[in-house]
Formats: sequence, C-alpha cells, structure tokens
Amino acid sequence: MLNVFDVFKIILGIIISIFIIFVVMRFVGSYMEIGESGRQVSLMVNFKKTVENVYTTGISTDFELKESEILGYRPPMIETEVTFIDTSPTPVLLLPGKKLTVSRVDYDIGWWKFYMIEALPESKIIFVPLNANGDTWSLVGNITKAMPSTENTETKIRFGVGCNGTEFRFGWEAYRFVEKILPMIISGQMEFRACEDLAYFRKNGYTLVTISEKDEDVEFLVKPSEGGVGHVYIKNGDEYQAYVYKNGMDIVSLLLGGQFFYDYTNDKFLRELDVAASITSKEYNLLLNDPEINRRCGNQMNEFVALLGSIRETAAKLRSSDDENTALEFTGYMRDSAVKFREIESMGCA
Amino acid sequence: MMEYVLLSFFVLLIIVVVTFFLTGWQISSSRSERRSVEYAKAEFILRTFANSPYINKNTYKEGSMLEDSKLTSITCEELQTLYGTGWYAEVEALDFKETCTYENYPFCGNWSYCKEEGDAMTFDIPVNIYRKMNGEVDAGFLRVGLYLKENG
Repeated sequence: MLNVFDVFKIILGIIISIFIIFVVMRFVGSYMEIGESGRQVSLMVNFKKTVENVYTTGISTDFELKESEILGYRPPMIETEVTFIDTSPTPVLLLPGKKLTVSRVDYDIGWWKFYMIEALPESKIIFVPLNANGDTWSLVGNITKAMPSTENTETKIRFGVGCNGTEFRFGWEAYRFVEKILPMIISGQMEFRACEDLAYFRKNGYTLVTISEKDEDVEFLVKPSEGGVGHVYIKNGDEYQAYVYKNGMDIVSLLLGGQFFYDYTNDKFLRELDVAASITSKEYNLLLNDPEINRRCGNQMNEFVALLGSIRETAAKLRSSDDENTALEFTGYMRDSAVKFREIESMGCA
Repeated sequence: MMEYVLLSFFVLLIIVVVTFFLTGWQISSSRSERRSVEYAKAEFILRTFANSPYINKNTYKEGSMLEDSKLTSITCEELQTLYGTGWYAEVEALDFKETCTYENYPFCGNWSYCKEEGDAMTFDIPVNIYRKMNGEVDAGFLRVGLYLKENG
C-alpha cells in the first residue's frame, strides 16, 4: 500500500521528468533550427563564392539549390527564410531554380569591359522577328550575346527562332546560335509570323521575344527605333509598360526580371562606365604629357578624351531619366569612342 | 528523499553543462564561419584586382599584367565605387620604390590605394607591371588587405 510520502515522490518525479523532457526538447528544437539556418547560410555563402569565382575567372559553372531556399531576389539582395545575402559588389541577375548555370556575360567596347553574372535555371528562348531586316537580326545577336553560352554547363539556355504557324526552329546554345545558325537564317531570307497556340509555348516553358517595328499584341515586344536604341513593351494585364533600351543587356534584364533588374543593371552599368571613362580620361591626359605620344596621336587622343567627357555627361542624364533621345545620343558617343579607340590602338598609342 | 533531490540536481547540471557546451561550440563555429567569409572576401578583392579590366593591360586577357599608366590614374574613391569599402591595395615594382604621381610618372614604382591604420587580413601575389612608355614588363607584387571589423 502506498503511503502519502510515496505518492509525493511519484508526483515530484513526474513533474521533474516532464520539466527535463520539456527543456531537452526545446533545446533540441532550437538546435536543429540553428543547424538548418546555418546550412542555408553556408549554402548562400557558397553561392556567393561561386558567383565571385565566375566573375573573376569568366569560367561558367553549375550550382545546385533547392528552389525553396531562395524566396526572392531583389538586386543586390538574395532573400532566404533565414537571412539576406548581399551580392555586391558583383553585378548579378539571378532567377531562382533547382539547378542554375552561373555565367559571366560581358559588354566589350574596346576601351572598357562591363562584366555581369547571370545565374539562371534551364531556359528556352524563341525569337519572333516580324518583317526582319539587318538591324533586327543584329538585335537578335546582341540579345543572345547578353545571355550565357552554356556549352560547358549541364544547365542549358537554348535559343530558337519562329514562328511559321505553330512551327519553330529551336535547340541551340548562344555561341552556336549566333555564329552558325543566325547567318544561315539570314542568308535564307526566311520570314516569320507571330506564333499561334501560345498556351503550348507557355505550358512547355518557352519564352517568346517578339521583335517588330510595328505594335503587336504580344507579352514581350522589342520595338527598335534607330541607332541601336528602341523600346521594350511588357504586357501587364491589358496595359503595356514601355522601357527604353540602349543595348542587349537592357532587354535581357527586362526579360528576366522586369523593372527591378532593368533599374539595377542600368545603375551598375552607368556607374561603372562613369568610373571607367574618368580613369581612361586621366590616363590619356597623363600619356599626352609625353612629347612623342603627343606628336603621334595627340589629336586623336584629345578627341577621344572629349568623347569620354560626353559619355559621362549623357550617362549622368540617363541615370535620372531614360529618355529616348538621350539614349540615342549616348549610344552614338559610345560607338564613336569605340571607333576612335581602335584608331588610337592601330597607331600604337593605346 | 535526499537521493532524489541529488539525482535531479545532477541531471539538471548535466543538461546545463551540455547546453553551455553546444552553445559554445555553435558560437565558435559561427566565428570560424565569419573568419572564412572574411578570408573569401579578401581573396575575392585580390583576384578582382589582379584581373580587373580597369588596371590590367587591355589586350592581355590572362590578367595579372597591371599597366602603370592606369595604376597612376585610378584613385581610391573610384576603386571604392567599384569594389566597396573596407580594404586597401598596394602595388610595388621591385626596381622602383618611389610612389607614383602625375609629376614623377613613369619614373616610379609604388601605388597605394585606400590604406589606413587598422588590423587587416593581407594577401600578396606576384604580378607583372607593364611600363606603357617603353613597353617593358617589370616584376612586382600586389598586396591586398581586408580591414577586420573587430578582433575575435
């Protein structure tokens, strides 16, 4: 028969056991949570390291994630459940996915190179050039060059061209598409029409990029004007949002991430360009102190420095407004500076 | 009764000791993680510098061929616009030790950017320095340091 003291010991034992179990469970729970958070943080740190390696070496690679680990990317911040990772100072365009190809694309103008990292899941891009002419095909080439060439990665970005009713040609990676396929299509003088059965393309993960000089009722329309400048129209419900583009990178930014990516890319591009133009101007002024260089290339170098000044002025205007005329003026100066640089280079002064 | 109290006390003591041990272990792994992040950042700055198109010779694609005219023209503020703050960099040619300015260029061989007082994690690598005026290549080294925010 249990006495009162035995009952007291049993009750005390139960209370202490429950307390101990509760403390241990709470601690194990928090510890597992910390472990999971730590795992996610190290995964993101590894991702950042991978991005930086690709940025400095230019060698593309694959990176595997679970889709749920990245909640979103608002440049330059990657958002996960437990933390934010800042990708600065490396310019990165990231689309979440399980397996990503991480590649460096560049904008090379001779006297300056702008590097950008694109971390993208498998993608299928189809260009739909309507009433295509030489400028249209050159624009298709520029857009493709602003996307990763994935020959050396398992995750592929493939390109194609269409449509002819529901038919289209598809399946090439960027380098092959630009170097081999586009010249064949251009020489074949093929003509294309707007794609039909859009549900098929949507269901199979194709992204259509329509290029036309006229207004078209499509989701993503590139409308070239002149001098490498034009507008991109993105359908949003019944309305279209219009953006001025001045190079392939602007179009790709809009295609991948809309206005956020566009604003981010432009800010990075124009900021780095301003620094590059400032450094190059100072460098050329320094070199002009040398009588021999001044005698041989003085005129050309002074003209080049003046162009760099104009580029900085128009770039500053573009940072506050994306006016088409300013963009046109800007691309003109950029083209002239590339030509002048090649001239100085050929004279042995660059 | 006393033995139950003692038993409970020891069990609780073990729980507290294990808790402290695991928390301490977690803190030390966080510290080592932070140290490895700082290490990676310093390494990134070094590699970025060595390959940067802003200071490398235009036509030389492999990197680590720094051009003396670019090195003389670039400033700390411009580099900070590109690569952020919290680091310093130095380039030194082996045969010229004088700090480069507009006035003594090209007869100089030392460039220093954003250097200030403070503890830093430092890396050195050998680099080539292209002498623009005579087309010769000098040997030198690039040193990059990342300022540590706090010791620990």
